[in-house]
Amino acid sequence: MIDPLTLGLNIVQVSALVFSIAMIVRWLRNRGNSVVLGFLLYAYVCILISDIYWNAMLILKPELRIPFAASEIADMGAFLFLAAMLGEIFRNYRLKLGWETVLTAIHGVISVVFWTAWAGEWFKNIIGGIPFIYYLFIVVWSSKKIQAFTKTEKIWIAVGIYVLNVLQGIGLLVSSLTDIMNYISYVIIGIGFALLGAKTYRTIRKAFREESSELARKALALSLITLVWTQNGMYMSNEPFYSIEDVGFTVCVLLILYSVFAIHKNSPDDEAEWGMI
Amino acid sequence: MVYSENILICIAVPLVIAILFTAKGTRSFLFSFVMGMVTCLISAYISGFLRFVMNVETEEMAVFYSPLIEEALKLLPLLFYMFVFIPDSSKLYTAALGIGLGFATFENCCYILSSTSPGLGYVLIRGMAVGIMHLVCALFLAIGLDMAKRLRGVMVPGLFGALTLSAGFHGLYNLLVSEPGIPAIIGYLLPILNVAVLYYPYEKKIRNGLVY
Repeated sequence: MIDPLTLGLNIVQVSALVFSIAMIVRWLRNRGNSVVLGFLLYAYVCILISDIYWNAMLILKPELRIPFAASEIADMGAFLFLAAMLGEIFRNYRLKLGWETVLTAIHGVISVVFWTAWAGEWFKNIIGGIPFIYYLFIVVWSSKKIQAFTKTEKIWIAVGIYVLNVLQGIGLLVSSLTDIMNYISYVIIGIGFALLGAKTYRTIRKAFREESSELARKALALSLITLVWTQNGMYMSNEPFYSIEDVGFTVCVLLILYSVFAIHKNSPDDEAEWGMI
Repeated sequence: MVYSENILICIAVPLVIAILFTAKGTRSFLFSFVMGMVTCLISAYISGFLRFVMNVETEEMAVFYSPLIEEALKLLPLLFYMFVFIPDSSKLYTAALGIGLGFATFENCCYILSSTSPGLGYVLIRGMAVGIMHLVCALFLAIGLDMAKRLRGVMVPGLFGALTLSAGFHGLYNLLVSEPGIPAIIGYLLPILNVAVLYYPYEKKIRNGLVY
């Protein structure tokens, strides 16, 4: 059965998604077609479907085992559409491997191993892990290309992610330490979200103020990195921390929306190209 | 006992004959309509087979597995059409609409013939909800294919994204309508709301024949 905190926070998230979808639809209607906004629209519709499905499942059929539900399928769709959107925005940047992308791929594989260990379902986690790893790879690659972070910041993020992996690994292997490892993880996730969220918000404001296309792209890469950080945290967390981190996810939905609007506003030439679809 | 194959033959044979006497545009629509019906029958076979092999309840099958099977099977003829005939966007959308409508029509025929004298309310709900739901799912697939066709760089995510979007939407619909009362009403309204979301932003383009 769904608890009131989860339900309340999910209603907030659904409202934010409906608001975002309405804003994108209005933009598409008034300013013409855009493939980038189209991808974002479909990604948000996927997240909305996933949210509604998950809540409906918990309310209507709490007794039913969920083997490979539409919510997980829709989540995969959201990953793929967000990756497609980034791929289109950064299509003029050359794809080149670096230590960041290699570490990302390793982290993706570790995540799939954790999900399988926690849930005990290997098939759906491997199938779901493929689009997740691809999405992680594209997000990190685009943030690298636009130089969204300084070298020190990149090292701190990588250290943060791998420390979380080590803590969760210890928690998994030594059951007496699970709780303490989880609490330390929640603190790291919270601090990381606050720092990344603040940096993203500042960059979006600056992008609108200075009408810079480069800053808008940077803001988008930052907001997606914040989203990835939050999603990682959510997948590691139990209730009620999962629901609390869902608030961070909702904030990221809005940050991404405004970053994409900033890109469209500040890049009239690219907008004309994206309108080809 | 009503056999689905008999219904398919009765509806499809005149349509197939009609294909000989129609112009090119109408011909492709009629053909995709028949393909939609065949797809519906094949997906029913696969769902039935998997239900037997995996030993799952009908409800669990409808909520979890059928949406993915049905949408994947709807995607296959569209993929074949896209890669073999390389149609323009408007032809691709016409084919997708034909497949969606054929699928919905055949499924509705089978349901209505298998239940004894359904009321007008039931018939209207089936038409407005299930019929439109298959249409919306086929449109999601066509949008993804069209994007993938135009933007080669994002072909794979576009294709799989469209499949997951339509399967997710279909799964949500099946889940909601499986519970009577308010959830079912929300489920029945969902397809028509999605039609509004798909139509409203692109209204001008659709009217000018450019589809999306």
